[in-house]
This record gives sequence, structure tokens and C-alpha cells, in this order.
Amino acid sequence: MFSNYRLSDGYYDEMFAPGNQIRPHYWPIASQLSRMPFDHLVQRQATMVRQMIKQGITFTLYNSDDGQSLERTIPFDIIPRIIPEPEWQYLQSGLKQRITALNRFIHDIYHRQDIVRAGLIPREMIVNNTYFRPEMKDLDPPGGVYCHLSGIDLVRDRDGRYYVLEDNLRTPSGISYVYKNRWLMQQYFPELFFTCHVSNIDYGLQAFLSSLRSVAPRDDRDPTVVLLTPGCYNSAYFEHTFLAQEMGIDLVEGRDLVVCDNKVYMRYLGGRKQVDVIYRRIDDDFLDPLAFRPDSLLGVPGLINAYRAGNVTICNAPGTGVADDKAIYIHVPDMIRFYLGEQPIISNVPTYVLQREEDRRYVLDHLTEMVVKHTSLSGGYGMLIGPQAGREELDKFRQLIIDHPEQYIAQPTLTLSTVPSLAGDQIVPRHVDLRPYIMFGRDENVHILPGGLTRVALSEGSLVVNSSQGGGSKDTWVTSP
Amino acid sequence: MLLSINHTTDYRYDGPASHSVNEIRLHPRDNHRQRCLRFTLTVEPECQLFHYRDYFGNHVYSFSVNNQHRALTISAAGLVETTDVQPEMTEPHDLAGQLAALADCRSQLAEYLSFSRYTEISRQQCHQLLADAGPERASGLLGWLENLTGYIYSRFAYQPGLTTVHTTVTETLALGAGVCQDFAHLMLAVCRSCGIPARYVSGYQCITDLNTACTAFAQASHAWVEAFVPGCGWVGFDPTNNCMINWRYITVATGRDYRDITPTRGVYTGNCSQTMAVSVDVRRC
Repeated sequence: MFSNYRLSDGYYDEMFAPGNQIRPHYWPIASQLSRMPFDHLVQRQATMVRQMIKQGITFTLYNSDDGQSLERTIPFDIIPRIIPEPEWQYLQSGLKQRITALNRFIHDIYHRQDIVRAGLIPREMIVNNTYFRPEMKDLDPPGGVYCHLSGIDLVRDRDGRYYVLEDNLRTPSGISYVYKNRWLMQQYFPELFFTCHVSNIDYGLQAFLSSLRSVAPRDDRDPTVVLLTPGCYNSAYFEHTFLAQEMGIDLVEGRDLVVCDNKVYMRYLGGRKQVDVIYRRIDDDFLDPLAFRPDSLLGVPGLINAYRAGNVTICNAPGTGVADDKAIYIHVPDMIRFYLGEQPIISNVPTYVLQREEDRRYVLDHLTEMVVKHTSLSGGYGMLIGPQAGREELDKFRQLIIDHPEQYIAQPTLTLSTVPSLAGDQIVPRHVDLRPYIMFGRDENVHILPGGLTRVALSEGSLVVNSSQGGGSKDTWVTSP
Repeated sequence: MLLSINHTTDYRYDGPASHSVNEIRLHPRDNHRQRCLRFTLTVEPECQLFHYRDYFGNHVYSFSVNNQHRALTISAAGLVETTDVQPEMTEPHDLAGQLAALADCRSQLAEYLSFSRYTEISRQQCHQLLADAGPERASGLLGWLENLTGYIYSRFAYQPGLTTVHTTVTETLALGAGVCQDFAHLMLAVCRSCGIPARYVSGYQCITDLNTACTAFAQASHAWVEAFVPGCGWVGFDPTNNCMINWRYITVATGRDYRDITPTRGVYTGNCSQTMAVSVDVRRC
């Protein structure tokens, strides 16, 4: 089955070492897959995709060109991405370190700003950041938790080293696909799990619910936790319904909640009930028309003052976006040293700051080798991939960088690692990244879902894995021998 | 000088309104030239008030009226003691030296140097305005700011009803007219373009004794600008009246622009429309 598999030069392959040697953690499934007729594999994958459509596991693409949006399934690839346990231990300690530092950073910038006083981050970069919320100053979220659930994107370079590509601390999506991918694999390819010891993810959402309950403001044995969604037109609505069902909490829209004397109540047939914790999947701007955008119809008027009065917990806290901005990203290694007194376990991707003249000149001279990103956009929007860009696009970004150097950063084009994937009638290497999901609770208690979401760029040579740009996903295993 | 304030905001609805959630900034601040001796706030229908200080140190009260109602009245009454404080330069100064000193404050006052939707101004527009105004003819920064204040006063017509609370600097420039809020935003935009930290001030101006025959009550609510002058601190300028701030001015709230200090803000539920009547009375005691 893998006899025709051709490694791409200069990339790290997760399954094959140079010389087409299968890496030991892939031995069990390699031997199983090799015994299987190729068309069976194709049929099984087709079955899984049909199931996804049946179950409504979808994602909505926004198309800026014609304003139309398109609901579709996230393409699924049947060959899992496997991370051996020792490697996962290393990643886990690195992620734990990073999220702890980030959470302390957010607390610090909304309180004493010690890191600014220490001269590590310019104050203007924080207070004039699009995602900085003055409303959060001196506010103390229960348990000191800001980032209840975050996703930190990792990539592997050609030498197999992991790097942090970006932090997602606002309302990262995708965790539902981790579960759906696993269930599809367990249902339609159970024999693969017979020979491999795959870390269980079943308790992950219970752990998340426990950590949400742990930050309830009232000393109540049974706090009411809800998931606040913008509604069924949101791209991740499927995920919102999934999470609410799995955790057994109410799925609500802004109009279902009402604030009365700075307490939040949920309306339901026959009465109302006080809400203690809101896991929100609405952006800060739309959360409360009284505090933020006055034209927002999605939010709950008065919510921020209820939060300020200490009567409700908002998860993730408003204003966390200031720490996942791409311009702040550069300073995360400094944060780790400053708050924890440790060296970063997982490094950042080397990044050019375009306001520095030297960096800017270098980037403009090597634009075809660079990835250029807008500092406050995500999901692959507002991005240039130098090696794949046409002349016109390169010129456009050259001008944007010259006009607004502070709005962009540049990184050398990464050589994302590859995993064998099914493409038509053959198995070929496709580029992947990894988004582990990190839950952060009271007393800096960290729980990381084993594995996470592997996103795969399904067209040949493509390095863009974002679901919003048509990327697919794979089941992700942490295995012990 | 002892000044009393009576500020009533009266909302009427042409149908039943409910779940009205509000936030108000009407409580005068204490600062180096004024002291708020008394402040009372009454809301009808009766409700609980929640008080906090916002990012800029302003007093904020929030409350909700959840039961159905057809009217909402917010009455603020205050007693404030003000003084005339003339800005005093503690060190010898020249414009270039002061601008250089401001560069050291960039970080600490970054909020007051950035642009918002209200205060966005293009390099070209600012250049043009400065060429006409010629504020640099003054010897120091205070004079520079006075010249700019005078220019805005003489060049733009005070014309109520032409602009709204959403009007931007670009629109004001095109209209050549506006009210105190527009002139304040314009002055902020120019100051910030030149690297001078500047903030929006909302408050009252006591004018009842100036012309007792004409009680232009609504005009007592006012907005002006404070700019940061090295060696001197925050100094107030009123481009609407072409003067510096004196005992007639009561500061209520300061912020980056109008959005930070909106005196009354609310959201309600109900299939009905709202009319608002405001009366403001500020007098010497």
C-alpha cells in the first residue's frame, strides 16, 4: 500500500523516516493497512464522509468575493496522525508552560502591568491593541482564569522540531471535530485500535465542564452553566450544539438571557433561572451592546456589568485577544521567562517585526520566501504566502507593508511536516499542523486533550490548513507502545 | 466658586418598554481645580444603582428597569466647588523642547495619542489645517494650543442640529460647522497628529449669569479638550468659546473620545419608539 509513497524532499514525514523506513510508532497500523486491499480503504473513507453529511458535521465558509456563504463538511482523511507518548509528554509540558504564562500576562496587563514596567513590551502596543478592553481593567475573574479553553497551533519543521505557530485565546473552534473524527474511526475502522494503545479523549469534555463549574462566582454546589451562541448562521454552529449536548448544558442565544439588577437570568417556559457561568462563542465586540458595539443584536445588554458585579463568569474572559495578537506573539518567550523564570520549552517560529527597518528591508527583499500575516486577522484571511503568490498579490502586500508596517508580521515559509493521506487512487504526503486544546481552571490547573486537531492541506504542495480555507482534518492519536 | 447642577433626562415611550439596561456618567470628578461636594441620583421607576469607576477614573452608575414602563426619568443633582487655576510653567520652555519632552511620555499616554473612528484625520487634512491655523507662531506649547483653539473657533461655525453624536472629524471638516462635541474631536485629532496627548472632556459650563434673559439650558452641557503640556500637566481648552478652562467649567468625565464618556446610554426591549427630553441647569450658589 505504501510502496509507491514518495517522500517530498526537505520535509519531515510523520510516518516515514528518510530512506522510507517506517517510524516505530506507525508499525502497528502500517502492517494492518498493508494487508488491506486499497479499494477497501477508499470505500471506508467514503462511508465516513457520508456519515459526516448525515450527522450534519459541517462548517460554513464565508466567501468575501460574492458575499455568499457555503456550508460544507470538513474533508476527512482516514490515515491517522500518530504522536508517540514521550513526544506528547514534551508537548504537554511546553503547552502547559505557555498557557500559564499567557494567562498571567493577561492578568498583569489588566492590573499592574509589571511586564511593561520591566520594559519587555511597549505599553502602547497593549493599550492601543484592537483587542485590548479597557472595561477589563482591575476586574478579577473568578479563580484568576482568563483562558478557559484555548487552542495553540503547532507545526514541525524539516528537522522534526515543533514550533508554536500561533495562540488562539478567544473562542477557538474545532474541538468537536476531534471527537467526531475519533468516533468515525472507532465506528468504521475499529480494528486499527486493537493493536494500538490510543489515549482516551472521552473524559475531555467532562474535564472542561468541571473547570467551567469550578469558576462559578457563587458558592453553589450546582452552578448553572450555559453555552452562548450567535445562532445557527455562525460557521461553527454545529460545534456549539455538539458541545452543549455533550456537556449537558443549555445552548442559549443572547435573546434567551436577560440582565436584572446585575444578575443574568435564562428565560424558559414557565420562568427564569439565574445563570452562573457562560461559555460564550460570541466575539467580545458583540457580547454586550451597552459595553461594546451598540448595534449588536447577538449579545446580552448589561452582561459586562453583571460580570463586573461578580454575579456571572464569562468564559473565555473578554479581552484575551490582546495576548493572541500576532504582534504580541513575538513576546511570548519573554513572558515565559518573566512570569515563570523558565526557558520556553517549545519555541516560536522566527518572526520579523516589520516596524524594524532592518527586518522590513530583509522581508521586502525576500518577499517570495515569506509568509506575511495581518496582526489581528485569523483563519488564513489577510495573508500572503510568498512562494505561491502571483506578481499582483506580491505587489499588493509590498505596498501594504510599506504603508502599514505595524499591521503585519512576516515569517519564513515553514516546511510543515507531512502525513500520508488518501488522494484519489494513491497515498501521498500532505502537509499538517496540530491544534491541541488546553483547558485552564482554578489554581492554574491545566488539562490538555490528548492529541488535538490535525488539520491537513489536501491539495498538493499547499501549506494552508485552515478550515476556513478548505483544509481537512485527521484523527490524531497519542499512542504508547 | 460654588456651582449647583440639576440635570434631568426624561425618556418617554409610545408603548410599553421593558428590560431597560442603562449606564450613566453624570457624577462630576474631583481634580486639581474642582471638588464634588454632593451628588445625588434619582431614577424613576425606582431601581437599584450599581456604582464603579471606569478605566479613565470616571464615576459610572448602572441600573436596569425590567418591568414594563412608559417613562424613565434620570435626575442628577450635584454641588461642585471650582477654582480658577492658571497653568503655570515650572521650567523655561520652547516649542521644540516641549515636543521633545512629550516623546518621553509617548508610552505612558499612548491612549491619548491614538486615533478612533471619531478622531481619524488624514495626514493631508491635518497638514492643510495646520498651514491655515499656524499655531507654531506661538513661542511655547501653551500658545500653540491657544492658537489652535482660536483657529477652530473662528474657522468653524457653531450650528446645532447639523451634526449628530456620531459625526466624525472628516465630516466636520467638510461641513465647516458643528457643535462642541465636533470641535473637541477635531482638536483632539490635530493634537494627536502632532504627537500631543489630548483627551475628551464632558461636563458643564455655567452660563446662566451671563445673560439672564436667555436661559439656553441645553447649552450648559458642554465638551472641551485637555492637552498634556510637559511641566504643566493636563490643561483645558474650549474651542467652542475660544478660551481656556476657568471656574465656569465643571468636569464630569474624561476619555479618548465621546464613546468613552457618553453621559447616558441604554438599551431596552419593546416594540415602541423613544423620545428624550433633557434639561440642564447650572448656577452659582
